[in-house]
Amino acid sequence: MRNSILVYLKTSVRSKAGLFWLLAFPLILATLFNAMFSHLNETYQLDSLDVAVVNDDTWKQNPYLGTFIEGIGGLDADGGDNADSTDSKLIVAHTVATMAEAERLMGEHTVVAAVNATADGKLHLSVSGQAAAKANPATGTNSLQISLTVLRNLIARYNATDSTVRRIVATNPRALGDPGTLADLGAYGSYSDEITLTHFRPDATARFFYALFGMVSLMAMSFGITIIAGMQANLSALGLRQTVSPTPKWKQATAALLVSWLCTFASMLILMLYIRYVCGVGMGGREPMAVLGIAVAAFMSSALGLFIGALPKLGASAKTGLSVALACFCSLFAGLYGTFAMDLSDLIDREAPVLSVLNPAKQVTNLFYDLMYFDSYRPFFQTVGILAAFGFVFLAAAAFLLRRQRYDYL
Amino acid sequence: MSDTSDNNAVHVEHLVKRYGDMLALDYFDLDVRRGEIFGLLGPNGSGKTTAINCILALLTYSEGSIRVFGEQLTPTSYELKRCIGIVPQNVAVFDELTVRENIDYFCSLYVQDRKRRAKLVDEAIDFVGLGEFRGFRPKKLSGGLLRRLNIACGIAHKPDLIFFDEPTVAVDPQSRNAILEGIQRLNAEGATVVYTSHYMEEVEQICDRVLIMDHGRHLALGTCEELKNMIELGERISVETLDLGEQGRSADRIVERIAALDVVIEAEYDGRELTVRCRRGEHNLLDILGILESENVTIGHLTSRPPTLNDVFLELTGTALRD
Repeated sequence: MRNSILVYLKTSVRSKAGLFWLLAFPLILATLFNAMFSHLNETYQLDSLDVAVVNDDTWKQNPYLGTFIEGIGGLDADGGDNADSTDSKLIVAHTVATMAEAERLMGEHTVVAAVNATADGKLHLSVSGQAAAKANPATGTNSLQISLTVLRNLIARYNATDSTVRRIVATNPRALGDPGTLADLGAYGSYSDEITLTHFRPDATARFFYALFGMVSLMAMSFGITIIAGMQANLSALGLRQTVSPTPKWKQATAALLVSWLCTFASMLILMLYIRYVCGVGMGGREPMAVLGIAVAAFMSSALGLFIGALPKLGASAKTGLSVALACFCSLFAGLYGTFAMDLSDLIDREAPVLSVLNPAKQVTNLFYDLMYFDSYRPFFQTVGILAAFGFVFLAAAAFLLRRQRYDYL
Repeated sequence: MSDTSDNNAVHVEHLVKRYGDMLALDYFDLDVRRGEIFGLLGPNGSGKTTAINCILALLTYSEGSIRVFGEQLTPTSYELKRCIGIVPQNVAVFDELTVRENIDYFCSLYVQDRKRRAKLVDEAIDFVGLGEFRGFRPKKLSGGLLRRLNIACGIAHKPDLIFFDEPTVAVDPQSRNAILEGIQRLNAEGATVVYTSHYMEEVEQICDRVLIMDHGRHLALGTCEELKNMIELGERISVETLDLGEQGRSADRIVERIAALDVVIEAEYDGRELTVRCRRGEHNLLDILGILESENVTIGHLTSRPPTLNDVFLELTGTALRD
C-alpha cells in the first residue's frame, strides 16, 4: 500500500491542472478578495482634508479659533500652517489672508473647504463645489464624506459651546469660576457605550474568505475522484489493469483516501496561511484550532470525493464535472459570491437551518466563523462533529459502492 | 472437472454473457494449453474482449464455467492473480510517472519485495528496449515506445499467463516486429500467451493455435495450416493479360469459360488482371492456362498463392462490414 500511496501522491502533485485549480486558483481568488476588500476598508477611514483658514482681522480678534484649528490638527503652536504634516490630522490648514484667496484655492482644487470667522465670533465652513459633489452619498467616496461630516460636526460643536459660554458670561459670570461648570462645558454627552462582545475584533470581510475555504474543500474532491476513477475497470484501462492485480481493492481505496486527504489538507493549509498572514484576515487568534478544522474538512471532502468517484454508470469526466458543479452550488449558499449570496446564506440559516447544516461548504465556512465570533469552542466542535459525521457517512457509502467486484458492462 | 481442463492454462466451457437482450457470448468454449501462444481472432464486436474480461473475473456472466490453471478465478483469488499479466488494448499508464516509475508501480501490485522488484523492473525495461527512456514521461514517447511501455507494465512481474489484447495497434513495422519477437521470447521462457489481433499475418507468424470466433461463438480452432485446410479455397491464381478483350475476343466469354471449370469458385477480370479463386485441386493452373492458350491470350505475369489466414477469416466470418 505504501507504494500505492507514493504513486497516487506523485500523480496528484504532478498534475498541472490539479495544482492550478486546487492551489493557485484559491490563492488567486484570495488575492482578488484582498484587493477588493482592502479598498472597502479604506473607504471607512478618515482622510486629512486640505482646508483654507482665513486669517483675517476678524479671525485674529478671537485667539480661541486658532487653538481650535490647532486642536484638530490644522495649525502649529506658533500659528503657522502644517501643510507638510498629515499624521492623524483631520485637516491640513492652508492659511490665507482673505476669503477671496480661500475661494481661489477652492477653485484650483488645492483645498476642499475654507474656514473663516464670522463677525459674531463663530466659525463658518465653506465646502468647494467639487468636494460637495464628491461627498454625495450616491456618487461620492465614503472617506471624503465622513471626514467632511466630522469637520462640520466639530465646528458646530465649537459654535454651540461658544454660544453657551457667551450666554453664561452675560447672565452668570460667577459660574465660570466653578470648575464643575467648566468641565461640563467641555463634556460631550453620549447615550451609547462601546463594548466588546467577541474575544476578537470582528472583520466584516472575513466571512468571504471563510466561504472560500468551503469552496476549496469541495473542489478538492477531484483528488479523490481522479484516483478512484483510475481504479475502476469500467472507467479506464488503468482501472482494468489495477483491478486484475492481486492487490485488494480496499488497500487501493485506503491509499486513495489518504492521498486525497493529504492533498486537500495541504491545499487548504496553504490557503489558510496565505489568508491569515498575507491577506491579514484573522482566525480569532486560534490558528491551531483552524488547522484542526482544516484536517476535518479535508476528511469530509476526501470521503465525498471517494463516494462520487465510486458512483456507478458515470464516466470520470462526468464525476469531475459533478464535483465542480456541487462545489459552485454549495458555495453560493455559503455566501461566497458577494453580499447577495451572504444575505441568502444568512436567510437560509434563519429560515431553514437544516438546509444550512446539510451544506458541507457552509459547514466548512462555519468552522472559521465559529472560531472568530464565539468565545466558547462549543460551536466549533459542533461543526467539527457535523463534518466528521458527513465524512463517515460518505465513506460508508463509498465502501458500499466499491465493494462491487465484477461489472455487468465494461 | 476433467484432467484435460486441469492441464490447460485456461478452460472455458459453455460461457454465456448477455448485455441486456444482446448475446455477447453464446455458449463459448475455449481451451488454452500451457506453454502455447494462442491466437483469438474475430471481427470487431465478435466477443473477444468480452471473453477475456470474463476470464479475468472482471465481468459477470450468465452461464458456464471458467478455470485458470485448473482453478476458478474470482476477484479475490489473489494468489492466482499473481500468475496473470494483462496488456490491454488501450495504453494504461500514468502520464505523471516516468517509464521506470510506471513499470515499478504496476509490478508492485504483484511483487512486494523491493529488491526483487527493482531487478524485475530493470529486466522488463531491457526486455522492451526502453533503457534510454527510463526517465521519460509517457507523453514524450512515440506510439511504438508507448506500446512497449504498456507491455512492460503487464509483464514485469513475470506472469505465467499473459493476455495481449491487440498490442500492436498503431505501431510502425519496426516496433511491431520487436513486440512480436518479445512475445515469442516470453513464450520461450515458459509463459502461456493469449493473443488477440486484427493483423492476420501477426497471428500466423507467432501463434501455435488459433481460434476464430464471431457473434460470441466458436467458429474454428486449430493451427494455421489446419484452419487453411478447413476452407473451400485452395489457391488464388492471378494472371496479368494485356489483350484479353482485343483482336475480336470477348473478355466476358473467356471469363465465363474459366468460371465454368469445376475447380473454380470465382473468376474476375478488371481490364488488366484476371483473378481466379480455385478449390483444392492438382491441375487448377494447367486447366486455366489451357483455356487462355486456346484463346491465344498473351500472358504477362502469373502468380499462384495458397490461402492465407486472412482468406480463412473472411470465409468464416464473411465480408460484410462490422462496427
